[in-house]
Amino acid sequence: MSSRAARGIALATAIVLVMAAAGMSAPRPTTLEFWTISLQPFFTDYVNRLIAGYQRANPGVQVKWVDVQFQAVEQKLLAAIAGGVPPDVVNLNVEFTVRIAEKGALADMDAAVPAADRAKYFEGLWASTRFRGRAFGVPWYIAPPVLFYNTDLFKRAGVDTLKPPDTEERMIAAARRIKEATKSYGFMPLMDGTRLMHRFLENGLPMLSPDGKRAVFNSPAHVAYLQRYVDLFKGDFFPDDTLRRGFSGAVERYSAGQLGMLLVGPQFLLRIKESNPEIYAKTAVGRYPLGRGKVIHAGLMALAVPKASKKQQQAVKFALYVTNDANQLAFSKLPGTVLFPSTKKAAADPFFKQKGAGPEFKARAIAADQLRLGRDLTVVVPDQSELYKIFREAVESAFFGKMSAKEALDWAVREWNARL
Amino acid sequence: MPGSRVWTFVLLLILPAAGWSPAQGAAGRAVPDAFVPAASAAELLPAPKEAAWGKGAFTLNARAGRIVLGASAGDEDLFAARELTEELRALGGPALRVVREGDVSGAVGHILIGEPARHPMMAQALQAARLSPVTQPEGYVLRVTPREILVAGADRRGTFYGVQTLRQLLRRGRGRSIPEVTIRDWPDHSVRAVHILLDAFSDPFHIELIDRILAPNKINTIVAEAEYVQWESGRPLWTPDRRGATKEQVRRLLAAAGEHHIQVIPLIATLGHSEWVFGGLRDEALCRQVAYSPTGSVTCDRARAVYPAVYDPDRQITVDGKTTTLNEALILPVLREAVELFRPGFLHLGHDEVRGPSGLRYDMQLYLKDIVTLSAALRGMSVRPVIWGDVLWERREEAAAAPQFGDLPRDLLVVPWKYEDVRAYPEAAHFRRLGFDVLGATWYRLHNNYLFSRAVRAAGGLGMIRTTWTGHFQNRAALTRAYRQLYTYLSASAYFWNTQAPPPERFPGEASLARGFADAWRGGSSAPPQPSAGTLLNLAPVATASHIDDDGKGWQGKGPDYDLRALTPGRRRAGGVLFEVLDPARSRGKSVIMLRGERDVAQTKPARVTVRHGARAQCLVIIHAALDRAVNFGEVAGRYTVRLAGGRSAPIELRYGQNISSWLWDAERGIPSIEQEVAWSGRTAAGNEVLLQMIRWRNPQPEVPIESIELASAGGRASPVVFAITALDRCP
Repeated sequence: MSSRAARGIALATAIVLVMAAAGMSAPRPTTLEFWTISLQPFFTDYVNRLIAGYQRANPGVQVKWVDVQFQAVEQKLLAAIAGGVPPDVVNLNVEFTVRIAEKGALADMDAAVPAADRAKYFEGLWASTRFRGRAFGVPWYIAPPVLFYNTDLFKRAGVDTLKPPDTEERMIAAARRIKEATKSYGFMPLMDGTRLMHRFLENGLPMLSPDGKRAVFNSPAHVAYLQRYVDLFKGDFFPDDTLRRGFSGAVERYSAGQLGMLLVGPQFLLRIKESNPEIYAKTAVGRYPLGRGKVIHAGLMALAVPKASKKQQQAVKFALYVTNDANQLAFSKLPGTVLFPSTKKAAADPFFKQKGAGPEFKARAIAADQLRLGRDLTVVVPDQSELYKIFREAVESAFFGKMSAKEALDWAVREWNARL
Repeated sequence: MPGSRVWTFVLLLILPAAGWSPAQGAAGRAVPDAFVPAASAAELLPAPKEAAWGKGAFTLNARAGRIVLGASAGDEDLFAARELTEELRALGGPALRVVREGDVSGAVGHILIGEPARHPMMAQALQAARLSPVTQPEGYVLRVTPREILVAGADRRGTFYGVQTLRQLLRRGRGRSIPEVTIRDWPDHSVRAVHILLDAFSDPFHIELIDRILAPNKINTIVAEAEYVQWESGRPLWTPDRRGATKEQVRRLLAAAGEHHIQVIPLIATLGHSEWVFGGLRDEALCRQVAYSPTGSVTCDRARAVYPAVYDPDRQITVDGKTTTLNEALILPVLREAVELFRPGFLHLGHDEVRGPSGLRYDMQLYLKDIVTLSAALRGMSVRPVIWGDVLWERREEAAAAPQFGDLPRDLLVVPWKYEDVRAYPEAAHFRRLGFDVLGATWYRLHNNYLFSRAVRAAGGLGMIRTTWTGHFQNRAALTRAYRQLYTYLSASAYFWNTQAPPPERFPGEASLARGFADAWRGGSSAPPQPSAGTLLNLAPVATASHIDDDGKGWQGKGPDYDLRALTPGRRRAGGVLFEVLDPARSRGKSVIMLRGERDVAQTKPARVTVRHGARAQCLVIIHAALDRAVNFGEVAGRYTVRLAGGRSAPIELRYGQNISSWLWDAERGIPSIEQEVAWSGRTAAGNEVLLQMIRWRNPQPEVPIESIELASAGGRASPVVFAITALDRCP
């Protein structure tokens, strides 16, 4: 045993003895385990301050913070639940929340959170984690995507840096010009995994019938939309790892100066700055290029409480603390950060309308303005993992030539309809 | 030959290899042919390059027939001969003696095994038959005539593979006869590998896998993830995970692999996927020191297995007061120890998915430099380095522009991996153009294996690796949880051997592969099945729904496009067992027992139904499926309880994914468990792949009549539906 550990034990023992001697009933120490997704290293100080504030206000409660990579969080959470060592509060996106809720592993937040507290959040955001009529997450932050673009590549391709593409059509045209003029890729469209569902919805192309009982994403318009991107892929207008690496690959490629445009939440600006200050200096910000549906998929981050947590009540209390007006506003105000709160009062703060120099200010102003178009478009269906897998397979089949776009969507619709 | 045996043989010829054969009749009847052994699969896997079939057959004769080896035959030939005699024993065929060529006067009536250069009798027999030997490495000629059998290898591996093909032919004739054929065969790839994850729990699973699956399917290489072996190196700063394989377990694996002509390439994941490094480091301070972190902040949390994405191999650290680097203190010593243990020709260094924290790019120069450093160390031990190819492919322009790129050793073997059903695999040609040898790495998908194998062949690559991602520390569990990853070894090995084999559309489907794997896995463990009489239980009085939906009120209530009309009513056979599927038009519009469940059509069905029998039976076979997919694998879907006269009862618990699955093909898991036996497969009118499963129950008291079978649902989404039950007088 190290001398440091021995000292620690001696001190703890002394405290217990002193308290017992004084006739005090020491509050039973509680440790809450809190998992976040990829907040380190950029938000380390903020989260530590947040935790310290909670611990001060709640003596006897310790919060243990674990930051998990996005790609690993679902698997790690399931393993932790299965192993009987779940976190007490876990940060999940809507897709993960619904999938894990379907397994019966998350606490019902509609039941756990009093109505007065629920009313503090935007109704649409509170409803985003609803599955079979119950909400399984407390909305945390939202970051509507914006367009980052490399002004150097734009100039070399003769694309106006002052008028970045504001529609999907114009973005495709710009991507073509960039590739043809510079040999660098213009964009990596968000088509990986199930993101094509969001693209469909952003273009007013529904996934399900109004009663939710039939899949309808194989109409001629859906097929034409997918076919267009298949043609772009075959024409080498976006790289072959787009479907596998998704936005992670896009951020990486953009940060290396090898991508003209990047569609991500404004918070990624920090990552670009950290990874490659030269590219950050060449980066400008534009509005998210809208599809025909005039709606933007904005991924919501939520806090969920595993049912297996032995401290559910305290966990819910902590989740409400993390997402309260003051803390969300403080999160949004972090220098260089462009995140938006899920509570109405925090979102109304004048801070979000401030103007200033630097892409962060512009990104925040654009994103704030776009909030009115933002919705979490995650498609909530039973048996989500299999239906999503089928959809992914269909998209890959179309891009990789196993099936035509029509055959692929027809196949996926048939498979969904048999299961819905 | 007794008359019953003749009748059985005739039936064998008539019955199709798989699936049900419709026949007419009424339910609830005693039948003399409730079970007849199904014929073995007709296809040879891997498909040989050339096969000319004759009309005759060689009949095995225990009295006169011998397995004849060359006069100078060694242990390897004896091992191949033993494989043959064990196959015969498992099939209940004659016990042939193994002799040397001097012990017999000629080839007639015998099975000759060996290479013509070391087996003069074989050379004479080939000459007499005007057959030129196959000369390609690992190739063989297999000639079966009514007079003799010749298995002539181009080399010892070739002989071994010829024997493996002969074993498959023996199964067709159930160890009694072998169809006339001349096969000339050789592999397209010189490396045909399966990737496995070594740990303490994989012994003897992997040895069984070698013996029953890999070697018979002509796999000649194993790439073994070995970072969790109990290495003794690096102990001042690192301790191996106790769940890792011991070195003694590795030696047993190597011995088994060697006997089966399989080389083992150890894989020690370096840079990328280095959880084994971080997880074993002495303390979290050291973890933070070695982490690659340009931003200076990392998480090292051993309790939650949250580690940095990658390490910096050359950062200076202090261990026991000495300044060193992670490469010097741990990585290189472990590599040296691995070479001493495995004595490999190649060592796989990993180096895949190397990314910095939070998606930052790992420094390319550092990446390349590390390959150069580790490769030089391996060269000093006469071992060729291997790396995954994803980083060098995805960042190819950046890599090519880095000054260290030219320093990469040209004997580096690059393994690009791609697991999707992609049509083109340009990576193979790319790395060949750069002067590297290439192995393509695939996963379970059939097209992926078919097309990537062809692309690597076209690019002049060295071969293929079929990867397995079942997670460390749960290899055997893959049989019942990730079975798809195992049964598709059969298709991968077939495409690795013969790139001209038919495409997946004309290749055995997954259900067939799953059955083939299960048969091979259990091969030799049971006596050949015997025919049996039995009873087709009458379900009509208790049927609750129809599997045909003409009006949107049957089956799932979705109309004729999404029902099971492809399962035509009448008598059918599955796995040799006869069943009767009711015709709803003749039985009150009902044909199946649908139990209560969450889906709307099942919500009003009974939670339990009792099927009366009132007769003796040694075995029950039940055809069923779940109405939907369970959320969790292994979830209890229901229970069947067999009640015997006298009050005793026996439960059969239905666990989703194991002995019951959805009627719809599982797009995520395929056939998820070796326990699952597919009884029938077909398509809906809309085109969905659908299937029914069967479970077999053995009566512990066959002399006591079975009064009834109670079918009960757990009431979830995966509620059971029973299609047919057959009682067998004798278990197969």
